[in-house]
Amino acid sequence: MTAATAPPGGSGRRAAATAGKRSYSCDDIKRMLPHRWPMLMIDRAYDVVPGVSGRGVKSVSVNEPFFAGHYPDHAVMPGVMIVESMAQLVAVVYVAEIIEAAQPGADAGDASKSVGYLGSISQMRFSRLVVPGDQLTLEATLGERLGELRRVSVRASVGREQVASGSLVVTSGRRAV
Amino acid sequence: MSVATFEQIRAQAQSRLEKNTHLKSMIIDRLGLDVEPSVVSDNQPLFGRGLEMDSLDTLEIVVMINSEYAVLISDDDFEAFGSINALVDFVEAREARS
Repeated sequence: MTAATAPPGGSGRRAAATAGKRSYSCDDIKRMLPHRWPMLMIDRAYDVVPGVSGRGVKSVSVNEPFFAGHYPDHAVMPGVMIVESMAQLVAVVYVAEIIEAAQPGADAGDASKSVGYLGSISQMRFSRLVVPGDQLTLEATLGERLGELRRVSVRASVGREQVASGSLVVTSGRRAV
Repeated sequence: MSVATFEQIRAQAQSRLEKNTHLKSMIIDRLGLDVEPSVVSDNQPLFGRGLEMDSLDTLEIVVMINSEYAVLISDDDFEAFGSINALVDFVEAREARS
C-alpha cells in the first residue's frame, strides 16, 4: 500500500511531503474498496488524513457506461453517480484508518470488507453539469460518529467551479441501517 | 445550606420548560416530523412507539446537539436518547461539567 503524499496531478508513489497525509493510486484503491467496473468511481485519492478527511479525483470519460442512457443525445453525468464518487472517497478515508491501525504487512483486502453502505444523503445541492472530459475533484470531511454511523461533509468541483455539496451518512460495516 | 425561594424554583421550572420546548422544536424541524411540539411529552420515548426515530435520526440529533450546545454524545451515552427530559438532563450535566 502506497502511503505517500502527492499533488493532485502527481504520482501516488512520491515521497511524503506533508506529515500524516497519504495518497493512493487506482491500484491501491482497488485493494481498499470492493467496487469494480463499472462502479469504481474514483481514480486517485490524495491529502488523505486517515479517518479524518481526504481529496480524490474522478476523471469523467465519454466511455462511462451511464452515458449510453443519460442521455443518448446529451451526455450528462447523473447526480447520483457524483454522490457515489464522493461516497467512495469517504470509504477510502475510512479504510485508510483501518490500514493505519493494522499490523504492518496486513492484507488491505480484508479492510475492504469493512466498507459499508450509504445511510442517507441530505442537503445535497448540484450547481453545475458534469460532462465527458471533466475532472471531478472530490473532498470529504468525516464528522460526528454514533455506533456504526458517521456523518460526512462532501463536496465536488471541476476546476474552480463547485459541482455539488452536501452531507452523507455512511455505515462502517455491512449491516443495514 | 441555602434554600431556594418559590420565585427561584418557579424561574428554574420556566427555564427548563423553555429548554424542553426549544429542543422539541429543533428535533421536529431537523427530522421533518409532522407533529406539533405541544403534543410531544417530556417523557415520551424517542424510539419505537414514541417519536418513532431510527438510528439515522439519532445521528442527526448528535450532530444537532453538538452544533447547538457544543456537547458531544458518544456511544456510551445512549441513555440521553430516552426522552426529551433525558436529553436536556444530559446536555445540562455536560454543560455544568465544562
